[in-house]
Amino acid sequence: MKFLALLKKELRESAPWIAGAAVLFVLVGGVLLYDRIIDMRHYRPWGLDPGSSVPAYSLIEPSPLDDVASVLLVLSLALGLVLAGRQFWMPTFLRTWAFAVHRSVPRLWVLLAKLAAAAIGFVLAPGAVWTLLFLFASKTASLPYPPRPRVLAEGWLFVTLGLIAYLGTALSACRAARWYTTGTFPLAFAAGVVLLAIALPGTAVTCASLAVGLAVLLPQLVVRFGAKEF
Amino acid sequence: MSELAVRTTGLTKYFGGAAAVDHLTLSVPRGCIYGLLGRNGAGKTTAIKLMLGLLHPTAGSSELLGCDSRRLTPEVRGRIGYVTEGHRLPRWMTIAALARFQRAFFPARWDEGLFGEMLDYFRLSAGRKVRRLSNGQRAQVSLAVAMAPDPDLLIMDDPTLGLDVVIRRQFLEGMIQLIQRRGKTILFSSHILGDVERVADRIAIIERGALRADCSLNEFRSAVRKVRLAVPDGMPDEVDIPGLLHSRRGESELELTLVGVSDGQVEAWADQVGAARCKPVSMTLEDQFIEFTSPGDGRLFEWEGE
Repeated sequence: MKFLALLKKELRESAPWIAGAAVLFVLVGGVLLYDRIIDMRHYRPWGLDPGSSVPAYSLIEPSPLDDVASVLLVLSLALGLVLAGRQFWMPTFLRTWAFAVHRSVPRLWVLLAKLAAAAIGFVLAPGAVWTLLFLFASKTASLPYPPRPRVLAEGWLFVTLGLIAYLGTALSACRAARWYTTGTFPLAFAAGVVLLAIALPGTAVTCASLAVGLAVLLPQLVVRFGAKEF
Repeated sequence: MSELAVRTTGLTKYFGGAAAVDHLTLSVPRGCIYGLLGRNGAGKTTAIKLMLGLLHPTAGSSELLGCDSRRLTPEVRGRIGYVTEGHRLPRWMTIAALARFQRAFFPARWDEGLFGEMLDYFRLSAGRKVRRLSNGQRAQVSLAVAMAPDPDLLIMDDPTLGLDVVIRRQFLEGMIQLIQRRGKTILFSSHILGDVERVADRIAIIERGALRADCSLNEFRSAVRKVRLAVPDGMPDEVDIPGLLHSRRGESELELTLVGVSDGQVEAWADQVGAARCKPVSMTLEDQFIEFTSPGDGRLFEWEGE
């Protein structure tokens, strides 16, 4: 009951940003996907003329969702920054921390409600929309080669990268140091994890980077928030 | 069960090199209405946040309802109402949504009747959004949501700051009614002396983070006083009467502001310096507070009533 009240409050405060991200992703992702489908319709008769040959990988790569995935990555990172800003910086500026924290619940619950709201936001806004766009690209009869399931999983890794950006920003806000001094370290760390995950090839490396990022940022956030002065 | 609702012992908080609260030791008995007085920046808000465990002390300790402030349990927090400075509430909530949110944390204690009564008293409609409320109305909503869970201890940080005279009076009267009805402990900070005079049983005065006085309001009223001495035969070189806060010299008059000095002591000193006449000057609580907290001759008094 108490946790639910906290969660509802956090969700309501994050809702405009989550909804905004979802709408933006539907619009931009939809347009890009539609554009790619039209392209591929032209490509099919051109590429498969009798007597001509094409390399096998070109039938699968690039995926019709490649451009959409780029948007997904940027949107996830942006949503991470914005949600953490709303949940951890805004109460400082609005001076509502005392109201939020002086409650008959352990302080950890307040943090968990914020994390849960953010997780729900990531699942709903970029995650669910990405999955719907993937399903649309897979089911539609107009594509000769539907995207592989691996593309869907990679998209979800991008969503998780947004969570890393969220945790880095949140931890930055919870540090006692001024934000422009060592307070930026968590953000810099999160940026490093994201860059590593994108730059190095292989899903395993991306997963490992994400795991390291989560393992470093999440426990620190729990400890810092528990000891934070308001 | 401890007889004290609030106890601080040598409570100290430094921000960088500056002491915001400096070895603050005070005790608030249960059932008392305690006014924490001080000028802007005196350390009242910091002291309250330290008591509530929202800030960590550099040194010293404090207890609320017998529980260490650094380790306030959810159960103890549930017995402490807190009205924050500036009445900062989530702006997107309606009053009804705010009440629902608060009620979730006090399923057994929340008094819906009292909350409704307070809204009626303040003429507030539950459907109004917090962002549409004036400062005064936000203060009233803050008080209502803090009082509805029937807290054993209510802490209010400058609750009447920024309110006009009418709203302030209404707010205080609302508070007084509740206090009389429920006999709760209230600790509130203020720099508006009239408010304190209306409701407080006991006061503490903080200046530059340090406690300057901790006594009943009546004791303070009778302890801080001003006398005017006619000194026709020349001014004394040094004013060395104990308990002196300020001295002002006129042509043939000497005005002394004193704390904790008896009539006999003043008269004896007046005889000693050859004063012809000794006349008391009436002072309001505001005058007394200003004289008491203004720096005098570089000294910082600490005075405690009986």
